Amino acid sequence: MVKTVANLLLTLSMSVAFAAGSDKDKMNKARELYEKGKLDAAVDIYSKIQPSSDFWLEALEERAWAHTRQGKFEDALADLQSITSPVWAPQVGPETYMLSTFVSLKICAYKDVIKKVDIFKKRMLPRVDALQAMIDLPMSEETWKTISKLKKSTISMSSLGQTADKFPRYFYRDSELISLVKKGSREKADARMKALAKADLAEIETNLKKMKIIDIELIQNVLTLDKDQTVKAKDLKFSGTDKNKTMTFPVSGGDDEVWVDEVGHFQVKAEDCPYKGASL
Amino acid sequence: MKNLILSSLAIALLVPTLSLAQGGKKDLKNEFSTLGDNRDVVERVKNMDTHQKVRVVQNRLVDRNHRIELAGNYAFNGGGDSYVKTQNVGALLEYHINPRWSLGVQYQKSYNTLTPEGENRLEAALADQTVNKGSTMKYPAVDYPLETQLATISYYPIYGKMNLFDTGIAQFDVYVQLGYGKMNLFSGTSDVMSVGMGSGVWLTQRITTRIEGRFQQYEDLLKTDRRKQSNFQAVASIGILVW
Repeated sequence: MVKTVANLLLTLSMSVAFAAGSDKDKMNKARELYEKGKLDAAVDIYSKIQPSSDFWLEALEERAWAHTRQGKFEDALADLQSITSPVWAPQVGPETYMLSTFVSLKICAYKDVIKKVDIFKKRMLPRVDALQAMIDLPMSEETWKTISKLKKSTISMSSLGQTADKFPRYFYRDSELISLVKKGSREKADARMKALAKADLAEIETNLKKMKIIDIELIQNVLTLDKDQTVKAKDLKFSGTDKNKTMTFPVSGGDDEVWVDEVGHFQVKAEDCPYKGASL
Repeated sequence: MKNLILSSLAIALLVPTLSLAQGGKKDLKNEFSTLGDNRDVVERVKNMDTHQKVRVVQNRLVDRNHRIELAGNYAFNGGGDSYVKTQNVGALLEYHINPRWSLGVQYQKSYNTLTPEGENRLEAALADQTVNKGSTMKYPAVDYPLETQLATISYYPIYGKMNLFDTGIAQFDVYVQLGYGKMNLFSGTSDVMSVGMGSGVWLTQRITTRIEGRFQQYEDLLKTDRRKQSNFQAVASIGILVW
């Protein structure tokens, strides 16, 4: 009895501590659960990260991974629709685009695969240029001025805005860089930024290779399909919502306009690979 | 056949990678050029349907389930008696059953003046009667509303949202409204029926605004001549959700 009460109190105190913890703690916990394969629990914690958090985009991306592993491709696409919108383009890494393309391939949305491959190229090529320039050239005054803000910890993805893609992702969370900037060691900070840029380039390269594999899979699937095979689209219906509390808006494929308030509120209904013999 | 294509493509992909690795520094940008470059596939995919739908589901920013709205309004009249210009100031009390239906009561106080045509007729008759004792020119016969009370039912079938000059987003509903009530005219009382269409914009949890066009029918009386009158009102309201 005493042991049960003690356990209950311990669980309660851990829950309270977690609830009060930082978003970083939540992310760490969610990642731990993800690693253990406890995907539902991980999704629950990722969902607790608010849009105002600097970890929100990562949380959505990792939640999309969890949904993909669960085979919940519609949920994964809904999260990815949010984070791959042009609003966040400078802040989103290559893996997100790769995952989004992969999920579209899984459900045989080939038109989307082509479109996403194109978006991947358009968004990554300028970043490759910027990172390469960071590696090849000495640190500019502007960059030093920006990273000097780390002395006061006033940098976030949102504060970087559209310039975020000119820097290694999340450089401002790098403890080594923060320590060097605080010491005022510009040369060493430059070397650290170059190392981070190289890591980002390596990440882009890895995901480029994965995108090429997806591209090959796409080619294989499309070329081996019966040329005349057409599949009539089913009338896809979403599950109902509480009309007294919600509003729903359709999103068309060619919609480039993004309402920031809609990010994080997408729902996707997809038919699971309607083309015969085309699944992965 | 499928395996053959896959093998050929995999070889085609790996060969440049190996040669790049052997050649020292890789040019990452060049590696992008071979991604998604199969025109034949792109052409074939163009003819395929995407079996996917996307929508946005957002919570209503302003809860309108069992809420009471109190608003003041101003209405400008068009139509009605051709010699009278009427403006109205009023108030409405609306009970929102849910975001799609509401019941309301409205009161309007009317302020009337003669139109330029009415004034001309009045002045002409006055002038003529002053100089000509046997004048047959008459003052214009008019009737005009003094106040109106309406009970309404509104249905909000369409909704949307608008960007408020980049300072925020407001949701709105477009509604149709039927009303029935009494109109007190200078000549007496008449039943009044109204059909309206408007838009309610829910600016905050408390502040609301409405713009509405309303067609009304009633009867007035010119001396002994009872006639059907129609008018159109453009109504602008601002209010608060009191509960």
